Amino acid sequence: MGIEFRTLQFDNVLRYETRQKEEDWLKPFSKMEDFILTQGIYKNGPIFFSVTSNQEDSATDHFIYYLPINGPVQLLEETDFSYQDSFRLEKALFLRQTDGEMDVTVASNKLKSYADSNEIELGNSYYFVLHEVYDDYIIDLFWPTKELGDKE
Amino acid sequence: MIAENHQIAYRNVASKYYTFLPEEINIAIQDFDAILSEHGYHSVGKMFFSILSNPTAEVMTAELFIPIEENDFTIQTEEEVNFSSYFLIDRMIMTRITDDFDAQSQVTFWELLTYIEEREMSRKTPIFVEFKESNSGQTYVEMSVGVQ
Repeated sequence: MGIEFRTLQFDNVLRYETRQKEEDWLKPFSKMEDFILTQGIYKNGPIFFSVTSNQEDSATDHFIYYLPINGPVQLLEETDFSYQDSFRLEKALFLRQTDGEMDVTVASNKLKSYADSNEIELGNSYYFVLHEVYDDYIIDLFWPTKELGDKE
Repeated sequence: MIAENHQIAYRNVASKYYTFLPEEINIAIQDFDAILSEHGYHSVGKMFFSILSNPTAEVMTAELFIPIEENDFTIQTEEEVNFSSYFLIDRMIMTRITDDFDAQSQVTFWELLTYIEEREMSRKTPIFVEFKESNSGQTYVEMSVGVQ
């Protein structure tokens, strides 16, 4: 599977936004999974998240996590989560990393150098979808180009 | 036999809610298939559904799922079709029905629920039914449910 353009889309997602250190990226997963158990809904897709690097503060990055759910949900105001009826990332540059390498910067650097050599200008945020396979991970990276941007 | 750690995973899945008489499920499947082809989408030839109504109810409410070849999906809101680039339900318990689906399905439905109760698990999704075909062409059904 080579590098190509692909669309990433889901109806009904739960959204959680945070600022954290890059190495803490896995932490919100269980927090989100625990939360939906109390809401009468169920997860029907892999958790995915966007990363936006902060130029001024390099110690932390801005992360938005999305958990696909089976239908709309009404949340109480005081939660950290919000509901979004649809998510769509149109024609993003796509790369699948299958070697179990959990350092996500390997995948993003690879896509960046592909974009550079093909004169594609990438946006500021990129998205990771993680698939757990035999206790290992396959990483799908989606990186929207600058002109299309994030139209969610 | 009931197996644990089952999962349902497909890419590019379109889904739609239907209400029908259980014996007329094929009409619903054909209707959904027609909507997708009218809009230029192509089924990969697989299909599954979740049962949202009580299993003894005369009229069945279900969400039908059809994986398609295309990864970019847009349709008018009136068609009420949902789409997921990645559909995944994990941590399921599953059992197979190899013949006489109509007669066996209710029995199997209760088998799954009893299994959950006996092992003090809790049910986290509706019951899913997936039509499958072995390499030699034998068709069978997998009935599964997500547990915690």
